Amino acid sequence: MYVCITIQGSFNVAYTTVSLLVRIISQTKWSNAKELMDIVRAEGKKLMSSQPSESAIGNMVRRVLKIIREEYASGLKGKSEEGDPQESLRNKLLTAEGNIDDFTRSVKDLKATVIEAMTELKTEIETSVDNIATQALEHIHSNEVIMTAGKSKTVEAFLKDAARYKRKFQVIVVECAPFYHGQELAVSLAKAGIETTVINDSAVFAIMSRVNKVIMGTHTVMANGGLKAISGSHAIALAAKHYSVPIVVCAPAFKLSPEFLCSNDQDAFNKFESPEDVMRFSEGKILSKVQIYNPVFDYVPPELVTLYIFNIGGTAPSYVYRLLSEFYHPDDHVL
Amino acid sequence: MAPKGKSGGANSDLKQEDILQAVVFADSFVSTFAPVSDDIPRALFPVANSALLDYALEFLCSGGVQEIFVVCCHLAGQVREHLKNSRWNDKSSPCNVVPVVTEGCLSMGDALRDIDAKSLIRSDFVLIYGDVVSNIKLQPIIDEHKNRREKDKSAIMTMVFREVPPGHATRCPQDDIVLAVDNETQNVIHYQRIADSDTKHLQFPVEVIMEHKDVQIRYDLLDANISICSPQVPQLFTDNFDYETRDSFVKGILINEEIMGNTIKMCVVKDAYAARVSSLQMYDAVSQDILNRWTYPFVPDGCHRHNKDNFSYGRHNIYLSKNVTLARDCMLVENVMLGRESAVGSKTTISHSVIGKNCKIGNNVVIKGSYLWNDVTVEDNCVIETSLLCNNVTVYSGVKLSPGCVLSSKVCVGPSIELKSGTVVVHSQEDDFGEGTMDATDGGCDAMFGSKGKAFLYKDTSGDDSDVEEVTRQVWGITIETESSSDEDSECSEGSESPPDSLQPDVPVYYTEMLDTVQRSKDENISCENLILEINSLKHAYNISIKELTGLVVKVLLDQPFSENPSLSGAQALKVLTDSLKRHLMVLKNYIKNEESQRQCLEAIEARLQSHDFASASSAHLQLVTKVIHFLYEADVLLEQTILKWYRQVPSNRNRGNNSDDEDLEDRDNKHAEVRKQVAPLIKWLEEADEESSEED
Repeated sequence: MYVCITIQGSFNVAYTTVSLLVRIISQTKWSNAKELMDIVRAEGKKLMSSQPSESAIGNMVRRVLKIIREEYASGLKGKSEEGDPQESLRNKLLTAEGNIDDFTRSVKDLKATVIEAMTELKTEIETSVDNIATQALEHIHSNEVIMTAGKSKTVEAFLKDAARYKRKFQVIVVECAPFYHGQELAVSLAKAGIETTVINDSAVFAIMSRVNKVIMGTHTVMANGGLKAISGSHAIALAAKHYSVPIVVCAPAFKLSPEFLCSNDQDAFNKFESPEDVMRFSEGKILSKVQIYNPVFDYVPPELVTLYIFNIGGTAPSYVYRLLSEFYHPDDHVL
Repeated sequence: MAPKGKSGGANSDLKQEDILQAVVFADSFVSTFAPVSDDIPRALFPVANSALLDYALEFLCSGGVQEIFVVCCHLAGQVREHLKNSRWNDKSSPCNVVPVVTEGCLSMGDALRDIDAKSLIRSDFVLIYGDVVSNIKLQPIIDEHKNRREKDKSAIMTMVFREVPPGHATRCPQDDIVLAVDNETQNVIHYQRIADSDTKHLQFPVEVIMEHKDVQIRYDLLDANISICSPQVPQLFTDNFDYETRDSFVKGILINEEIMGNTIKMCVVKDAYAARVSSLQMYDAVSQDILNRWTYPFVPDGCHRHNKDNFSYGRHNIYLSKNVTLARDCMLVENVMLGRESAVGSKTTISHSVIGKNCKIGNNVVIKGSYLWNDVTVEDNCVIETSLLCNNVTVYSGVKLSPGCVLSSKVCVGPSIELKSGTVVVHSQEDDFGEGTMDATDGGCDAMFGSKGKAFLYKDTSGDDSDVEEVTRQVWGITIETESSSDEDSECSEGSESPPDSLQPDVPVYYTEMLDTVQRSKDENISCENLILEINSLKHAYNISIKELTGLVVKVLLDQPFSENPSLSGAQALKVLTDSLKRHLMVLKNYIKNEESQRQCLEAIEARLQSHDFASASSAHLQLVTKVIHFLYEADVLLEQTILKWYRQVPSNRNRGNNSDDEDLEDRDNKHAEVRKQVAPLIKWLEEADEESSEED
């Protein structure tokens, strides 16, 4: 039950969460799907409260709940509860009544099927980065100038994949102070033989006019299609909008969250780290006279994003809501 | 394998259990926080609404420590209870926290000896106090220590420091250290706590500079007492019974470095936080640092909460727990934390403060830089500045608390009173006869605390380190109040409350004051340490230089028996005098250290016994000189060479006594000769003894 600060990065968080839930499901005692869902919900809440800003935990818990629902329904009727995502509204309305169930009936081999489905989910998480990277050639064209910010594993793989096919392009990396993950990315890209330039955060607007495409990673994709990404992203997105440069966001599906942003002070949306990176503690007297903030995330509204590349394909921000209903059951949005 | 004996061998046998261990002292073994720490151990003080001990445990846990021994002495039951009810007792706890109760330990040394006796330590371990707040990443430091140990078994300890320049808010004058490090090896070669030495001068042994090519002398370090120790360290404590604290241990290792070959390494951390809540001032500083998130990830809204309070974090560093009631027009300015179920009334302003659980704050209250623990009630129109209000305190309406007030638990004050800066208030006190305690609820409390007051002014009855506390508390209030630079040492004195017009040296007043102090110390049987502290604080108050001080101390000690009983003479006088000197030997030794001070002591003795009181005195009085000098020689206060030098010296009065008339001068010369005559047999004896000993060699 200890997802502590030692687990870094959404990928690891998501993967560990699913592995943990597999263990919980296989080791705890439960007699029917309802009990199982209650257990998963309770443990999920605990996990989420341990890291409120890591939305991937909640996403994975919801995915698992959805799996349990589906396996339960298919175990009962031999067909999936929701059926085809393309199912018509009329059809849904008609069948909805019949689907209401309190999940208390016992289903044969529920444990085995749920765990099997979860193993599939784990595989999906594992392969998500590769699935995104394979789409690179469709988006990065010859002699393009690409801008990226910070360090995202997905974007790194995406760019390297394009380079693997000998496509020539130039990458401008925004260093993203005060964490400077951008510098790490630049080193990695340069080693892969990509022409790379590092710029500081304030140079984004000046450079933007010569950029063909902005490719960014993100921490979370919000329910409205907005982004919760590394701080500085909003400025980049606005600059891109000004110069009409398209913004492509690479995100594995597990980053898709049913959360909305209601206000900028919203609880657990942002994460404020130690001011050490902004101003050194040894600075002395001045510290007691100033307030220093070191937020990690930025919110980018959906209208600034041009395209999402999920592991299941490219999507427009306006279509994110549809994916949500595909991945999560509406009853699970609030755990 | 190095010839290290038992420990080395045992270690290699138990290679498979690579469990990282830590020892946490949930007791500081000093009473800096009295009277607050009388009913709550320091380790359980709420700092930003979490027990201090939990910060230390979290810190160790995040550093990969798997087994933690919590040594509890003072109020051990409470610490155990806390651990039992905390997350550390859960099945899911990532590390094993074991309380080790060692009642009756009086120092860290005792506790470590106890740990050694129980042989709990199997490999290298982390040693910290339970009042450490830190987010240093321990893992790399421990790895470095282990790697170093594999190459060189003698590196038994790594001390971890945080770089903090002088004048920083999170630096406390009591904890200031200076250390010298060899640049090549990173060995600590000299370690000194500034508060221990009384002067502003620092003394380094010559070897520090002579024997090392490249030496760094550092004053910009904050010592949070975090050390990574090898398993030999507890054994060394067992072997040397005089190691009381880590400081004395470090000193002992450094002195014996050549014999034992053990070395201490240093590690300076630049980008993480580490501090110890060692005094009220540090309590204040650390709390503010936590609110400013320097301790991230150990912040109130982090995942590391134990009491199931979820704090939400808002702009201007405002932390609010659940069920907090805020009036519409109250103002939370910045760096404010409000605990569960607390309520704040209208038009109330709060800034830079931490407010605990279940606190009720009325209307029109101003709270600035203060710490309110749980269940505190503050009624309307109060002003609270830079004060500490412990559990269950009630402040009735219209009370004004000036900076530096400490209200320990269950105290009630008011209505409509004003407490002076630095007032320490307790709920009950021992009555003057030391029989039983007087409870404030029985009535009979001081009128200064208002008509509904249930409080007493705190008098330190334990007689332990009371002056240290006094100084600390003063500093807390005053530094905040005036924001003065902390290098003004004269501020941390008892007299800081009095108007600062006594800055000129005031020798006669000081002399009488000191005489009174010594007299009182005899009457009340105060220990020598405390007497030294009192003398030191008086010294600051009257702005006496250290040179004058030595002479004055000797003079006072010699005068005291006579001022008590002027008719003393002859053998009786000698007996009383030697008794008094014996009792104050420690005081004398404290001030008389080098040759210069010894010379001053001799001059003072001489001057004293030939002063006008004794002008008519017979040789009986003069004989006292010999006896006193002999006594001091025997007691190792005075060294032979100094006595001889003094004996041969021309009367120094001649050089400086310009304004005194010739007759007086002549008189003194006579006296001088007389004294020399008296001392002659002693000198002769000394010289003979010297010859004998040299022959023996």
